[in-house]
Parts: sequence; structure tokens; C-alpha cells
Amino acid sequence: MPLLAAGEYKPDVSDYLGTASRNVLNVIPRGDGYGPFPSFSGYSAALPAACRGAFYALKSDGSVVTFAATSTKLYRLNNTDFTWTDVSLGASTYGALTSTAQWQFAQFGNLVFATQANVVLQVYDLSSSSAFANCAGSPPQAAYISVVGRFLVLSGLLSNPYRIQWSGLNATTTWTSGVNSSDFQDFPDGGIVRGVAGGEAGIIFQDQAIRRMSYVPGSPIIFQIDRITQDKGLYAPYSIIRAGEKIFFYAGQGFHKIEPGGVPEQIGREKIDRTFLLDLDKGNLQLFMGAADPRSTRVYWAYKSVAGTAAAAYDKLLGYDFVLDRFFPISASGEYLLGISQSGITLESLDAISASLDALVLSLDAYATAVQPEVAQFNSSHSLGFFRGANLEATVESGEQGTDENELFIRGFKAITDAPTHYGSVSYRETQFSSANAGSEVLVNSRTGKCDVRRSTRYARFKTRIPAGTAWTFCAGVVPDVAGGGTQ
Amino acid sequence: MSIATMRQEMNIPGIERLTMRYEDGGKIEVYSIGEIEVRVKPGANAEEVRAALEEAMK
Repeated sequence: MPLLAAGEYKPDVSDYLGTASRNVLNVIPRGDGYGPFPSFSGYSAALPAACRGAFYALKSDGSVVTFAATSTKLYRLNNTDFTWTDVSLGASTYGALTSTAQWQFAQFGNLVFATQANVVLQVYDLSSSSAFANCAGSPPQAAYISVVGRFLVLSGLLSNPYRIQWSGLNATTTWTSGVNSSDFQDFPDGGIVRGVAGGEAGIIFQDQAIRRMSYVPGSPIIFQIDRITQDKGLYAPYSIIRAGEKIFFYAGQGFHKIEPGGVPEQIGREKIDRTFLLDLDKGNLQLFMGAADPRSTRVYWAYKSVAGTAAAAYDKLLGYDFVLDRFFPISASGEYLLGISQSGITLESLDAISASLDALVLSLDAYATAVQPEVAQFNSSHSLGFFRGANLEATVESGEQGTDENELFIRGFKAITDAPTHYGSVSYRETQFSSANAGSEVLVNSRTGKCDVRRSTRYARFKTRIPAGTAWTFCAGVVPDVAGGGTQ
Repeated sequence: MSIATMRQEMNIPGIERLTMRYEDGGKIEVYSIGEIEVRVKPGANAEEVRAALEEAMK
């Protein structure tokens, strides 16, 4: 029998006799099917309250400094014992973050900026500060921050949401428009500005418009701003992801990407967009946030689904591999998703963590400095960690098979995977308009490698489940053992 | 609207020296030409800024 390849996850469309699957979970797409997705493994102490923003900065000596925010405080990670030090302005409490917002951070040289609309722009000098301070130059209070070329750009301004404001050229304390190339730009149409994706050129996201801002050296206009979409904007402000030169975001019309110099292209159309929109809790868009995983070609969006029960946590991740052009869902809950480099620890400092190597909870690899960022999260207990644990329970189901006129007699199937332990089941139905019945699950036969399920039906899907903690690398699909049956 | 476009479009003496800074986190915008300063509401349009500046220059 031929291989029934593990299909692309496209829950928006029928999987009947197609190559798509409507049911995969906790797996990452590969060229030969799917591979495992690891579970969360925390490494920091817990923040005192829910994480509402986080960031890593690189110092000039290559070391990593990690910052995190709660609603009213800013913290810096102690790289020796992985506890959090309060670095809020004067160790005081900031005006509380609105429930629909998160803190945002940006690094400009040795300076780290933190912003939220209810607070004066905060700045921390990596070379000398012990706490954040108010940014000089009287910048406007803003919800969003980014770096475009050699300018710091603020948007989501508290007093004028239709405006962006940029600093002076290479001058983050110059906020007087008309001085040192600092200026603002108001947008009479397109709605509220929801954020700016930084880079050499900036992408300005509004409710109903997207524009590109390109620096024009020597020109009095400073930035040339061109509209690149009509009636298409940003749906969720924290869904913007910059992955190298590419930008990903979620518009009201679905998931999009922007290639360098290009215009937005839909990537979720007839794949995931309809399913996602139905699943998204639209009352908690602050939990719909994106992060890139630069170690791979994947980006991730976290979101709270309509079935999510925790008030301040997302309950699902949606991954997208932009080289394979494939989405994949992950079951994970947390407070804040980000790409981050791990701060390291010297061998001499290991005593601060544990007096005994045998007593270490994590492996020594977990304490090494990693300049290359990877996707991480704060879990529901406010701890920072990476997805480096044991493999999650994985599910891969085939598209629906059938012959329309004749019954199938299924004698079992063989999952093409190196998972030593896995289970197989067949869901079945007699008509396309009836609901599928879930068949009993059986353990793979260790002698034949086959899942021995017997079923006579007209339509069937073959599901492989690999238990949590199983070591495996690939699942390419299934080889069904099927005979033609009679007509009904 | 931006300072650059205001400088181009307003016909006021010294407009090429127009600047704008914020006060109170952005709740007040202070437009200046040399010693002359006017305080306007956030997002005031060019006509409002021009009128305020001309009034201050009288």
C-alpha cells in the first residue's frame, strides 16, 4: 500500500481525499512530515506578578541582559541566581498598565527603553544604570516603541493616537520636532496607529492602513511615507513579528507577511484564517502576541482561545514555518511569548544555584550563554523558560479517505514514524454530512509495527498519537491496510 | 501634518525656525518660533497653530 503522507494542517478546508489534515497537534512540520515539539522548561525565578512584557538586550561585551515587566514594575534578571531585581524608577510603582496593553521595549545602542501609555518613556543605560529613569527631552507618552534606522519611533501616543513621533537622528533625548531631524507625522485617514515594525525602513500599522516609512537623508521631510495597503490594517497590536527582514502580522483579513520592500501577502488564506478567527478570544487581544524563533525558520503567535479559562494567560500557540509555508498548532499556556537569548552563568557562579551538581534540576547546558535568541515564554507561574523539555504528546491525523460508492474494510495501519511507542485509531462515518465517530485506540504491535484496528466504513481518517515524553524524530504518515468492501 | 509640512505651507515670518515640543507627556503641544511660544491642544491642525502663532506675534 502507498504511503498516506502526513498532510499540511489546513483546518479551513475539507480534507476529503486531499493532502491536507484538519487535526495535528504539538508537532512541527518537516520536509518528511512532522517532528516533535518540546515542552516548556522554566529556568528563572517567578516574577512577583503576571508578566506583561519582556525583552533581552545585548551589552557591548556580548553578555545578555534580560528585562521583564509586570503591570506596575520593571525587573532585571540576575544572571547568577536567575531571580528578578526591581529596576523600576526609584523602586516605586508605575501607573498601572491598561488591561488591554503590554509594556514594550527597544534597544538603542547601550540604552534600553521601556514604554506603556500611562508612563513617561523609561530608559536604562546598560553600562551604568541600576534602575530605569525618565527619558529626557519630554517625549510623548506612548504605547509602542521601535527603532527605525537611527531613530527611536513612538506610536500609540496617549494624547494623539493618529500620530507617530520620532526622536532626533541618533539622539534619543531629542523630542523637539524640527530639531536634529526629530519630527512627527499625523495620519488623517487609516485610523489609530497600532504600532511600527522597526528596521532600516519602518512599517506603520494602523487600523485600516499600512504605510512604509523610508529615511531620506538631507531632506526636510526626514521620512518618505508611502501607503502600501488600502482598507487593510493591523487587528492585534502585539501580533507583529519581525523575523530577519520579513514581517508577519495579523490583519482583519487573516495572517500576512511582508517581504523586504514588498506589500502584504496573505499566508493563511484557505488554510487557517477562518478557523483561527472563530477560535480567537477577541476580548483579550493583548494576549495575542507574536515572536520569532531565529534558530529556525518559524514564527509563533500565542493567543487566548474562546475556550481558554485563565484570565491573564493564553492557552494556544500557532506556529508558521515560512520556508515550508505551513502552519502548526501547539497546546501551551503562558503569560508572555518572546524570542530571547539566554543569559549565561560562569562555572564559578554555579554555587549560587546549587551546592551539588547532582542536585541541579536543569542540565548544565541550560545555564550557558546563548547569543542567538530562541522562542521562550513566561508560564502561568510567571517564570521565564524555553521550550526545551521532553516532547509533548503529539497527534497526526490523515486526511479523510473513502471511495464514495464502496465500503472500506480496514484491517489496520502502520504509522511511518521512529516513535517506539505510539497509538493508532480510526475515525469513521458513512456520509459526508454525519459527524465522524472516534474509534478505539490501540497500541502499536511491537512485532509488526502495525496498529491493528478493524473497521468497515465508507469514510475514514487514520490518527497516530505519540505519548508525551517519547523520544522520536519524524512521523511521515501512515500506510493503511485496507480492502475494498461491498456496496451499501 | 508634520513640522516639515507646516514650515512649507505656513506663510509666517520665521516659519523656517518652527519647532514643537511636548509638555505633560503629550497633553500639551508647544509650538515655538524663536522667543514666541504658543500652547495648543494635542493634534491641533495647521490652521489652529497658525492662528495661535499670529495672535502671539501681534
